[in-house]
Amino acid sequence: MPRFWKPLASVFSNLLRRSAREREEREEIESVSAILQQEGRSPREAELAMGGSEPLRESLRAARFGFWIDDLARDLRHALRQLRRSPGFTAAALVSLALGIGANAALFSLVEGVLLRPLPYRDANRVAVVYMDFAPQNKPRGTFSLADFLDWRARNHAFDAVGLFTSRSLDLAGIAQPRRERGALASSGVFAALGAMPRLGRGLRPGDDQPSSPAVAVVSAAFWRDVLGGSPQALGRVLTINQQATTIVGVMPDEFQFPTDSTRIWLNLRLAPPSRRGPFGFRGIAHLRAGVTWAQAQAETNAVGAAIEAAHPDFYRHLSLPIAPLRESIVGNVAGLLWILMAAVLALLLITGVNLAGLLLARAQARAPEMAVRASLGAGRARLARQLLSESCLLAVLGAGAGWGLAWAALAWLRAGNPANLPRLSDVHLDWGVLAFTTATALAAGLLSGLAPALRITRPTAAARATARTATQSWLAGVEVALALLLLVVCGLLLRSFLELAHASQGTSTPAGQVLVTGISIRGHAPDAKLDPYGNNPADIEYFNRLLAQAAAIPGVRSAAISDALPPNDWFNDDTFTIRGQPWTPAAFPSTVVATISAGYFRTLGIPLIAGREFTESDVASSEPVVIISQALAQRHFPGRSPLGKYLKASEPSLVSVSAGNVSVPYCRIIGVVGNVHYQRFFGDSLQAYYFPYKQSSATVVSLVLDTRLPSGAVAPLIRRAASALYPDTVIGPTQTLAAREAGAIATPRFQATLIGLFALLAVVLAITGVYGVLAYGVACRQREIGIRMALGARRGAVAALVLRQGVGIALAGVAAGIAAALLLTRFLASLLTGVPARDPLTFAAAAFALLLAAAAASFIPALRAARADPLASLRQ
Amino acid sequence: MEATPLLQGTLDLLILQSLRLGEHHGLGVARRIAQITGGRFDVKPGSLFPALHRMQQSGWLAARWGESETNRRAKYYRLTRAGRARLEAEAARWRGISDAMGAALAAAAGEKA
Repeated sequence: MPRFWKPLASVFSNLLRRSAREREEREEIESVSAILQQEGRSPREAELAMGGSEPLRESLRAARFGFWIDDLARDLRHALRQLRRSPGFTAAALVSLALGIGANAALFSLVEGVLLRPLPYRDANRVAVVYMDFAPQNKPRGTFSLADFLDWRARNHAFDAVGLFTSRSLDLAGIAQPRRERGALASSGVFAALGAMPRLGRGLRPGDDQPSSPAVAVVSAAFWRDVLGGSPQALGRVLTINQQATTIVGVMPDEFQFPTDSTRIWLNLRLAPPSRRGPFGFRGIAHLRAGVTWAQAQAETNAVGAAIEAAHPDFYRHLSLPIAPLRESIVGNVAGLLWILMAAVLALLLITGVNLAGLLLARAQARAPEMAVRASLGAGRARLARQLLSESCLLAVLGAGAGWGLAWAALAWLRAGNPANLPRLSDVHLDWGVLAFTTATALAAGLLSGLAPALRITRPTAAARATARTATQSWLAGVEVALALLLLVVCGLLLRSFLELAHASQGTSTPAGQVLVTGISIRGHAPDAKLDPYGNNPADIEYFNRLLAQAAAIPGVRSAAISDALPPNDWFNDDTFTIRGQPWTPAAFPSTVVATISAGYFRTLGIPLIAGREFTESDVASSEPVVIISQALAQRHFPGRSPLGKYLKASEPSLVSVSAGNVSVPYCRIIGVVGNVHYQRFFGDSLQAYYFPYKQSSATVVSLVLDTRLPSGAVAPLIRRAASALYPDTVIGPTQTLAAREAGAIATPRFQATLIGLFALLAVVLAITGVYGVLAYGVACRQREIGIRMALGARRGAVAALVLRQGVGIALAGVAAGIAAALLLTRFLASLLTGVPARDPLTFAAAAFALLLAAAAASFIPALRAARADPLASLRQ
Repeated sequence: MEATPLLQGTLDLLILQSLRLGEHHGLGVARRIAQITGGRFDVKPGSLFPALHRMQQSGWLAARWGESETNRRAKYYRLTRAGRARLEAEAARWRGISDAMGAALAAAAGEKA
């Protein structure tokens, strides 16, 4: 038994009673020496006989069980003391380590969670999203119409399941709190292609795709829990969804997030045989048949596209059906952003490492005399090396710890606000593998950067090779400058692009801060009511007339309107149209924004009326159909002529009528021309738009728009009360200013610019300290040389110029390399830029100039120090 | 006879053996070892004292402060029960090795003859 516990007990008693052990060891050695001297030896002979009392004491200490724990603690205490003694160095090293590691851990986790983590679908790697691209739209990720889908499905052989889907805002009634939800219209093929199994009930199946199929809905587990009480009785319940009685038939598991993670309801898409090509807005999804390659599938869809084009030469040019892996379609637009951030952050980590090594080298040089003294006092080389290593490892561990905290906080912040609208973000967590990796990296960096100075100190002759080492460090600093320039250029481009978006005019003159927007359902009354020729329930129109009147009557509200399109980036419908007397070609009549509005819309947003008149209260279902067009549309189709009195017709059937049944689409008289509004800022804005009065059109999803200086918090309850009093099942969204919506729309570019800007700033600071470090170190190493030069008559100015020239030289080389790299790499940014060329000379020049200036400033301090050196003092050393 | 460097692993056994008949202080142990090995092994303090301390911490030796023959304060080591057991085990092991080596060398000598 004692075999095990006695040594262990010794370890503890050694640790706890260290001073008693030391005293005892010392006394034993003294008594040995005393006995030897008593036997007639001189003190010196006694020392020799013992092999030296100091080494003997050291060997007794090393024989103490658990001595290494003690040693480690001692080293760490010492290291901590050393670090505290130079707070500047410690802070610089810790901050750069924490930022390098933190940014990397956070972004690695993000990339892992968003881009690399497998999609939660059976065989997701063989699921394709299918798009349609044709002239004149020329959108590689364009959408198709029902007719195109049916043509494709009829000719498809490459896929064993094909589906069609589109996202929708859905207004729900028949539940306690009417609400608006993100949903999708989906054919049964969507569920088949994804191999999605319901958690409860059933998914959509082929029987749901028929024109005569009843309306059914599959809901997400979250919706089921939140809204339906999470009970199995929810199956078979009937809700009113977009004015249709809809039966809940299934609940999908939480992992099923298609097409986006906010989609909570899937309605059956009834594939009614279409009477025209359009409306667009649908995408296909399909699962590759076993043995079919992506290239074969793409070849087949291209052939299908060619066949559709041949059958409808009047409608399509250059038609193709591009396919893309599901993952790409989900993360496509953020993949570029994330990889760029990843590259930036890796560059930052590189710079951090290089910088840290430089800092430690310079510090080691500064501490060389101290080390020499300690070595000559008998400290072993291994002991000194260990001490240096423990110092750098302590730095690395502390830095890693701070980095973890930073990464955790950054991810929590991202999850909370999702400022960049990243998909799949809710499941992103700090990845343990990533943490382990970054920590290992930090430790390795600590060991390596600690090892170099440790080796140097233990090799006294190495000081002679200082010049060679400054050359390596100069290279490293040059690399830092190059990377910093690259980041600075990327940042500049993104920033300019962002500013372009942020400050561009929307085409409205009412200040965006005083336009309040509330999402609201226009149609909601009994679906069995007799509809007017435009597909509207007269009760809905009446409800809306009253709500508008009440909203306009709120004191402080100057005007009120409704619209289903708002700048920027929010419109419900875009569709082609016809003008009487003009031959229809797809090139002449591309899909254009259609807005359904009330009379006060132009006044409320401050959109100028250029010709003709606005809508009035007397433009009703029974009066003459009228339309207002944008100036860009007028110039396009009536160059040099007045469009007033001409006739325009929307395409048949309208998008809404896919679900609402037969509605008439008459020719409408053009009664007015208004200023251009940027509805499609992020989608290659054509500025063309046409407007219908809401009593002569049909829309399900509209916003109430108010021109007022009142805060949204004061107005929102009034609107809610008024609307609920008029119609209890009404859906009222949150009230926001147009300015807030605009800010939301440019959140992603803002996020990019901010993050890259932060990285670039860090990179510049690190690069500059790098240059400074090299020069300061060089000056310290060359103290004697500088002293000799000055003693031989070199003037102070010349000495300073020597150092300055070296610094500027490093910076110039780095900037040149950075520009070359940026010229090669920024074209990958092009898709993220708006209004700025990827090789914008102004950005390049500004970045280079700023970096050179900063490097010159950083070189100034060591240059000054060199010039101030006292030749006598440095020679005497 | 010339002093030979100690074989690896023999120091512990020698120390235990030297303390079999009674307690000694550190220098005493060294001298006792020299005596019982006929002066063949000369144990230096640099290896003796750390070994004594290791064995004490392992529980094979116990130590006390006492008076030397010349009335000097000295640290005395003696075997514990565990130490005695250890000595038996080590001695048996060593005899085994020694016999085997002896047999091997005798066989080699026989072949040569």
